[in-house]
Amino acid sequence: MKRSSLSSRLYRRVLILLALTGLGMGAILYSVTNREIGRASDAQLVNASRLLYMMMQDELTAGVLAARGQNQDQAQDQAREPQKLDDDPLLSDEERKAFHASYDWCMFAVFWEGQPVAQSGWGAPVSLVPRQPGLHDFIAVGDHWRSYGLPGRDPRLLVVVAERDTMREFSMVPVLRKLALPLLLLIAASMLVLWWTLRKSLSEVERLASTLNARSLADLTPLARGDWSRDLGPLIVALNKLFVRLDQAYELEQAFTDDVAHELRTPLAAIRAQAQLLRKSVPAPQQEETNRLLAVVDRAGDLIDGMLTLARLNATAVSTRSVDVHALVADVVAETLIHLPPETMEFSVTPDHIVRWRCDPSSLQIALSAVIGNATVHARDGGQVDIAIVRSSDRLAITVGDRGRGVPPADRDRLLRRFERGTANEAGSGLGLSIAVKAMKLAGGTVRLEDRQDGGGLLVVLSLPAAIDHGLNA
Amino acid sequence: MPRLLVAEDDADLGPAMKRALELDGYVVDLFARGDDVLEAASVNAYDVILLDLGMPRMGGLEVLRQLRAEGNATPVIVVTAFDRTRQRVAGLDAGADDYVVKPVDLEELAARIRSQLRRKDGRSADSVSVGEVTLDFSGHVASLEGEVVALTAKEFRVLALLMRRARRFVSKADLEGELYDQEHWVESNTVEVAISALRRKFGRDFIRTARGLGYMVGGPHA
Repeated sequence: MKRSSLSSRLYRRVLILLALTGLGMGAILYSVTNREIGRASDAQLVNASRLLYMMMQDELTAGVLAARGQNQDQAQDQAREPQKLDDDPLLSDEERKAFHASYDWCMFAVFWEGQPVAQSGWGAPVSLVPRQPGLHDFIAVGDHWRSYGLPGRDPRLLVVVAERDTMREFSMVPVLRKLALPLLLLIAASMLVLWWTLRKSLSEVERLASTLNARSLADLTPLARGDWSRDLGPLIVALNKLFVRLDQAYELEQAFTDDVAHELRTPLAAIRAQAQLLRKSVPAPQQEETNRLLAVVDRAGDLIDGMLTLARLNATAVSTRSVDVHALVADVVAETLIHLPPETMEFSVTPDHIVRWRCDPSSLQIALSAVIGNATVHARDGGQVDIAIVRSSDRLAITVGDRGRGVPPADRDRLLRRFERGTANEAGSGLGLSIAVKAMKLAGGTVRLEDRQDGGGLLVVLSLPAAIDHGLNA
Repeated sequence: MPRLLVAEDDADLGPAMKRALELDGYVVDLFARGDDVLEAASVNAYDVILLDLGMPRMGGLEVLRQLRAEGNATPVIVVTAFDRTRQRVAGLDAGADDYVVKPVDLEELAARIRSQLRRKDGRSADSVSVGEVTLDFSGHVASLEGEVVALTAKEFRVLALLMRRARRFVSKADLEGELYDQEHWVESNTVEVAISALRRKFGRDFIRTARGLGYMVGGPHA
């Protein structure tokens, strides 16, 4: 599964956190606002009841209600049927108008000794209005109502003012509608700023990656702690420890192969020297035997060289750069030709000019030496080695063709493995092609054996893809 | 009779080298320890020193550095099992004149000794030898096994470039460029003509060629 980048994961998480925080704050704000609106509406109900009570003061002082109280039945009849405003003994027409001018959403009812004596004439039926002092909720005509009962100085009087709950409910919709555009802009701007801040904060990680990318793999010098922010400190320390361990492993591997080289080559050199001395001193018929001895010694030498090359390839650090492959081929051919008796083999290289390719020159050179060396051992009779460098947009192929006996298709895979020789009595260490395979693998390429199309012989194809610069890409 | 110092700590290889070189007519002193080598080299005048790098007490590189620090200019051929490029570079930087990796062919070693002896024999510093061929740039003289060989100006220039870049291919274009400096006009077969003349004078195998690469001089011990 492909993992998303650290910055986008962090970005998503911070966005979710921000969204949750925003929603939570909105909910708290909504509830606090509703409560405050309720409190203010209650205060308005209280004020409205007080206003109504004050408007009735003159009539109350005049004892209008006291007089009416004596005729209870009449008052009850008046409450059952809508009272004519003009006939209201407590509130004049002007007073009603004045009250409604200030509180047009409020209905009211006035009770004397629990019996209605005045009412606004609309809203909830007066029989459903709570006849108690203080704040109350009730349901009437399909609505929720809130009422406040204000007792008069005379406890027989109760002034009740009520309003529908819908009047006090706070709706978010119009608020959101007005805030939509600025909110969207704010959210978009916040997201951008957040992304930018995250990228900026994580740029240190990118810088570290590009610093490591720019290094050759052989460069194991520790990173300077001072160059990096403290947040990356533990990572830098861990990387430096890894560099030290790798460096020590390389050193140990090199020291070991150097020791092996010394311990194996020195006695071999002694045997060779003794054999050469022997050849000088023995009569001609026995010289052939010493020559065979020398050939065996040389094969052992080749074997040691091959084993050392293979062992060193394990500890080889690949370093990709632009390489003149033609010059590299020229150097390998020169080195091969120098060690061949004159007139033994002819070499040709096409094209005859610079061919550049991004690759690791050391491993390519080792592979090429192994393949060309293999041709000089196994196809010397053919007398000819033709090398072609073929470059396409995504691949470089170096073909090495000889005029030997070739290799049957069934034997090709086997020949690319270690210690495999064409036939049991052939010369060579049996390591050449396996060295080429390993070196090419290290360089990111492959080795293939084919038949030469232009007449007999083996064609070894070294193939290298275009290098991808991902630093630790060996 | 040239006198050689062989520094080799291996009990089999050292005596074998000594014997082989004595059969070639050299006077050979064999030492197995670095400090003994330094002492002997300061007392006796050797013509060539064959130096192993992995000796006890004092390593070959240290011996070489001390020899050069004391002003001893005796040609030194390092004979060692260490074959890494950086080890070769370290040996040559320390003052070695040649570097051979074991197991070495005794005939090749003899050829390398001869090459060092020739170089030592009173030639100017401005000369270069490849195999039996020597080119003296200051005197504009070429010689084969010590015998002067007459060359035309073009042949000399071609040979000079090949020998300066011995053991590496020199392209035909580079050789033409070398002649162009002098002539301002180079016929298409001028290089081939010069190469052919040089092969006649120094031996067919002296200059080797590969199609697509150019020409090269130098053998395993040149």
